[in-house]
Amino acid sequence: MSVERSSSGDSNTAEPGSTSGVAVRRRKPIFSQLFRGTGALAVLIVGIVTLAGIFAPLLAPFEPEFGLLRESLLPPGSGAQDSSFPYLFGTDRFGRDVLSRVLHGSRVSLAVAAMSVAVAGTIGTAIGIVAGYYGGLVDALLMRLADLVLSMPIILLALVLAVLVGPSFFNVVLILGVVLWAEYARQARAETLAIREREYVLLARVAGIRKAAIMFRHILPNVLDTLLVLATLQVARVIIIEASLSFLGVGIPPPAPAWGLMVSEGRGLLKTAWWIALFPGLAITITILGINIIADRLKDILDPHGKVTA
Amino acid sequence: MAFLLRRALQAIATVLLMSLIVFVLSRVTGSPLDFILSPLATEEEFAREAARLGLDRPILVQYFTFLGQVVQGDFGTSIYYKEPVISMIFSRLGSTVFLASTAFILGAGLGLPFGVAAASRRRSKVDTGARTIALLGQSVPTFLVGIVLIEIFAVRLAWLPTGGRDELATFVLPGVTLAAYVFAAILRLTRSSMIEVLSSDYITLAMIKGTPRWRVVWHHALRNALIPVLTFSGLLLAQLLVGAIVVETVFAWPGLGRLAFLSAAQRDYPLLQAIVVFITVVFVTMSFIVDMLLTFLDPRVRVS
Repeated sequence: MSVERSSSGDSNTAEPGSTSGVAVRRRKPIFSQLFRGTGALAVLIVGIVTLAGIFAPLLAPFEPEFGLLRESLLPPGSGAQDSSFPYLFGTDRFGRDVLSRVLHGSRVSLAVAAMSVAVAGTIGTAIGIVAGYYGGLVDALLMRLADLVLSMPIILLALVLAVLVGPSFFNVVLILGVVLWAEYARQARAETLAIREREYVLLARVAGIRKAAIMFRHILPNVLDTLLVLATLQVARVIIIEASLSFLGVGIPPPAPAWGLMVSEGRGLLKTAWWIALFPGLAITITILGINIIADRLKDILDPHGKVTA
Repeated sequence: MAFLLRRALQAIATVLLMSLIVFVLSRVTGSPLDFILSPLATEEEFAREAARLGLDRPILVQYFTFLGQVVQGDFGTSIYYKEPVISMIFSRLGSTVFLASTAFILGAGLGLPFGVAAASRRRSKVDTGARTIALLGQSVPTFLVGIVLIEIFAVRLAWLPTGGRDELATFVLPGVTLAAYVFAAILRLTRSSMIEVLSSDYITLAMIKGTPRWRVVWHHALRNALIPVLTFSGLLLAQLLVGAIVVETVFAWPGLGRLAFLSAAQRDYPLLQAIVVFITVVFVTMSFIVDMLLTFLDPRVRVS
């Protein structure tokens, strides 16, 4: 099916060459549009989650991976014996502070998301631009490979790979990177095909600029808009996949504070200690919600013609 | 015709690649002998068992033997359960397919009309409401939806069973959990596709000619707007077979996904390979069928 998608990208080439469309981009309104209404709330949520992730070691009142067994399963707000700070979100089975774990959990989620999207995005974009710019056999080979990856049942592949290679942070990043690059490649290629024919690229070629420089300095900046939309959508997807893998016990290994893992740990205790699963569950939901709203906004702003199909 | 042929070749390549990846990786990362032999077994016993299962041969030789047997319809016997894997898959397939298709019909059946309504009344209350629900449906991971539904309807209200798979009632919660995802996805896609179609010239023309609005929306526009929705639906339905795996875990529901998970963990090679090949075949067949339908619906695809 990716075949038709890339061909619909081809049709962009046929559009009457709106030559100046790329050069004059209005950067300012993007932000004012992004911040309008729920967008502002979404940016705020994602901002807080990101900051919480970055500064988790400073913000968290307790160690995320260590707890006192005698202070296990305390309800939210209980005082701690060795600290003046209460357990605001309660403690889990091992007496670990749920708040500290949720804060550190955003670090895990965001790190996995950022790294795997960076891996997938870099590989995919490079392949897409090279394929689109060179065309011919290179294009055919690279795009057949991308089509092949895109036509695989990705979730099954990710899951089976995760089970086989075992739970670990880098395995999760690697698996997601390997599985998700093809979408960037297809997108970048379709855009490159259109940009390649623009006057300024032709002039750059005539001026004798190296191919690598043309691809990197003249084509790459112009495909970034739609790739940014795709990347934002994928960050949300990656966080969900990572949480699901961790929930199933094949993602981030314990005792690391991954949200999916925490939900699965708290699942059996919903009746007596609901806080263990509730807070990480809420954290996942509002984070994904925030990112999805931002992705929607970015799509409206940066991709008004709906080139990003993911 | 050339297009369909190319698609068919690509489908076969996909199945081969997918099975090769799983085949090699499952052998490089572990061995089923650790699960079926006692930890006290001697080296000799390990070697004998490996030879009996043919695991002592080079991996590529094993792979081609496997392909040869698959072509003849022989998927082998489960190392762990000692049952023919085909019958194991088929005994679970029925319920998984039933679960996936119920979820799909429910989710798409609601998502489609809501998507059309939202698109035809943009920025109205219907639109805002539909978008909000769709956004939520896409943002809450399936395992959370499942846990929340169990907590409300099975534990607190005690209307439905928490899990297992016996009577029809056990299908309800997992079905709704999966349907929520389908609903959100179909609604979003239908809405954006309809908005695009509704802004095209032939719709404006139909309106100017005085065609009733409902007819323009539900007849003229929907027919074209359905094309991307249809493409996506085929994939979605195939994904549900796999995506059910998380839901199956939450509901302790012994379906195909659960079996894939266990077989990978136990390195039950014949079972794992058969499931992977099977699901991938279903997956590529679905997208192949969708592509064929598309060539009828949208002549532009054929030209490419």
